[in-house]
Amino acid sequence: MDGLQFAKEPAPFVITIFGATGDLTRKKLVPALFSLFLKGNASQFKVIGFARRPWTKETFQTEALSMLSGGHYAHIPEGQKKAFLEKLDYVSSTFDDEAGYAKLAELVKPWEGKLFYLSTPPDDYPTIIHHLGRVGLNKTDRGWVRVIVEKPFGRDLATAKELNEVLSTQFEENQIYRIDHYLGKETVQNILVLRFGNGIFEPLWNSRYIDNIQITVAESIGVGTRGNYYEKSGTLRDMVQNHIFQLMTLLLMEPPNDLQPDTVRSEKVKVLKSLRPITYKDIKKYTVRGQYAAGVTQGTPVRGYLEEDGVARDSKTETFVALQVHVDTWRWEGVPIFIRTGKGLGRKVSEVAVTFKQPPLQVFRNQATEGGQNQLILHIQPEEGFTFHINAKIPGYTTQVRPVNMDFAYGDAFGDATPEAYERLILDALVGDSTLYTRRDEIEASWTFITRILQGWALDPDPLPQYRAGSSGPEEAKALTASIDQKWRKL
Amino acid sequence: MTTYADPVAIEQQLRKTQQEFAPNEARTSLFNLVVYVDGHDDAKLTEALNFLHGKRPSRVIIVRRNAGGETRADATARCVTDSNDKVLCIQEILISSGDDGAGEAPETWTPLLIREIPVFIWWLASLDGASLPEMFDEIADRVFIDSGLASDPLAFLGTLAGRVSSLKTPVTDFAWSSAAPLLKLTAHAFNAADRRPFLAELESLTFEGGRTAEVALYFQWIKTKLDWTGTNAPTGKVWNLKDEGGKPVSVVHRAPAPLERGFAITFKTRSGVTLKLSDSHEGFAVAEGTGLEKYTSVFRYQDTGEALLTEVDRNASDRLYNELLRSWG
Repeated sequence: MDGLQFAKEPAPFVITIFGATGDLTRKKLVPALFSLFLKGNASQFKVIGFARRPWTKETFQTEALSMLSGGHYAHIPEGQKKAFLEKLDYVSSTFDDEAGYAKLAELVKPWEGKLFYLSTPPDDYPTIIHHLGRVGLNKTDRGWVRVIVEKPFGRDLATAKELNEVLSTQFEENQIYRIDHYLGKETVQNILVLRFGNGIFEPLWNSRYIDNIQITVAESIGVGTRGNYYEKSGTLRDMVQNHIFQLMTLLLMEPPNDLQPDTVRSEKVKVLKSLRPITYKDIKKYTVRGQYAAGVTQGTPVRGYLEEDGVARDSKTETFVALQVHVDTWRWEGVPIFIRTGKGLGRKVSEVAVTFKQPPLQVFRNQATEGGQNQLILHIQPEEGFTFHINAKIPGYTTQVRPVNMDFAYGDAFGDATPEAYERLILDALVGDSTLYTRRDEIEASWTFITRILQGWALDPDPLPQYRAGSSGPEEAKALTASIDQKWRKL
Repeated sequence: MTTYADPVAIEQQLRKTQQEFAPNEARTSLFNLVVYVDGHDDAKLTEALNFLHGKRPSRVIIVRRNAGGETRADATARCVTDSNDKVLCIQEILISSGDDGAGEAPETWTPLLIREIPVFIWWLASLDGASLPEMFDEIADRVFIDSGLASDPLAFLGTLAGRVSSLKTPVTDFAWSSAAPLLKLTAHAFNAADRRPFLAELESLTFEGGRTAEVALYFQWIKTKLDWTGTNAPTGKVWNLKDEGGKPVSVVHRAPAPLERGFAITFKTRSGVTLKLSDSHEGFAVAEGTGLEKYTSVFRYQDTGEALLTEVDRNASDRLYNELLRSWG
């Protein structure tokens, strides 16, 4: 009997957060679980923090209470916070101490669903995965066991494969949830609705009508206190391999037959596997990287990347990447995809701009040749929505044409109460929906493409182009779009 | 010739009032909401509009039935600045329908609707004798009712159920919105793998508290979900049903009262297991029973404002509600 189950209603579950004393737990995981509790999506559950710090259950509860204080939490009745905190428990243990896992096994034993969240530095993943297997927490006779793995998932193809291998020794692929919080964002998910929930776009969504696509994810701030981390990753690994490729696959994938996790993910993998490799000889033609130098962002003077704390003075880590990529499929043949992302840029903005081709015959002689192409802009940050640039007649006796905008802002239509990305993603993992998680072959396909670029860059002896903080990036990036007589969109 | 509600004058009045609050930019209205009231539920209307205020810019036309005297209209706007520094206004037009009843006629207020956005009718008046939703077929995208406001909710739901397949305008029932948290709570209670088999063994279900319409819809939901058969019965009387295997199940609603005053739902199985869900009155519901570790779950009654907000954001009527009505009996 299926019972009375509602959609998206998890069975009683326990979630164990490895690395529970970290920032992610404080800023995202505990607030997300509390929100699911408040909304009634989770009522019978336990949250177990597992970390090295010598905290007790009570310390964890006190810390969690501080995570749920101030701001909008101030209006939530204390009784509801208390009821949530009572569901929290803590195991103090190093990640290689068997006694800790034995204690954990006792605590999670009665629960039907067991979710393990790896929120530690990636170096600890193999140890944790190994020990979960050793105490038999990787499988169950009743209910389910799942594991969420936080990014970064590897730092190149070899390490990603290695991690996948380690995971596969203890877990089946359908138990593994590789998280990319970008996919939990409403606007990113809305790309699917825009494309496949409307009849008007899909017929135009191909190389016959689309001239080029620009994807921009720009941040105005620098690396701040994350210099140490950034030195090991760089923008290509930190943004392109995961977030931007997720956006790109949703934009370029073929229509899925249904919304089953594997149907959608198989279509996404096809896009990644169709990416034309950028080999060493093409590295200068299709990629540009850069580092921000001292400048002014958002009205405040900032220092250059090489002066940031935790950054080597001779660092060659990129803080900016621009790419021109091609997807070799019937649908996208000849349509360049321009990707631009970086730190210390003029404005914090994330968007996708789809530029359509000019009409085959220009009958309006006064129509501007520049800026007159139809564009559909999907705004992801800061204000979520769409803008469609179309041409209209300027009132008067002559037929003069000028672009005008059709705008739609989410805030205007739905208010601003969108759920946090982690809320949605954790709930999906609890009910076994992996559509918005990344599959093994997806990870490996994206790393295959990215690793080639990394290898090409490693052989490039030239110094990294610098750009002033607060600018649009290095001058060299202009050459990419100029190759098809286009410009980057203004930041 | 009498003009009850001059669209030009009202638009001017609204523009003037709104500009005082928002000289530059206000968010555009998302929908029209036409509310029919007859004086009994003013507090509910005020509470709902207060809840909507600052959340969804809209045009609200309030048609006050039987207001006496001549039919007349007045307009105002109330605005607030949102977190993105944009101004959100509710434009309110009050039509007091006089002795001639002219204000109630849709033609009086349809010229005041903003075109190209949805039109919702909220019938916050007596349901007896009203031809709903058919009287708004040419105007409305959806009609909101509360079957609990009918003098005989079960008869009303039965009549609506008989027409549900042929309705041209979708209906939303706020009694169903009120029942929604109960459904969720109950689903949770039987969600665990070791409790799911109890559903096949249920022999009785007793609901104490709650209004007739909400509880009848709740019973109907369980009946449909578990493939029980049999005829619905009035409040206080036992619904003698049969489960999927043909075994008898008795269902009864006792002590009707507004849900906010509390409730207790008791399930009993043929093997003697009892599961009770009740309201702790502290924002929680409690689940307890034979062999069950007692647990609490956040439980909030959805007030009218919240229900209204949910419905104006939704594009269609509730599929499950329509299914229940189709299987009503």
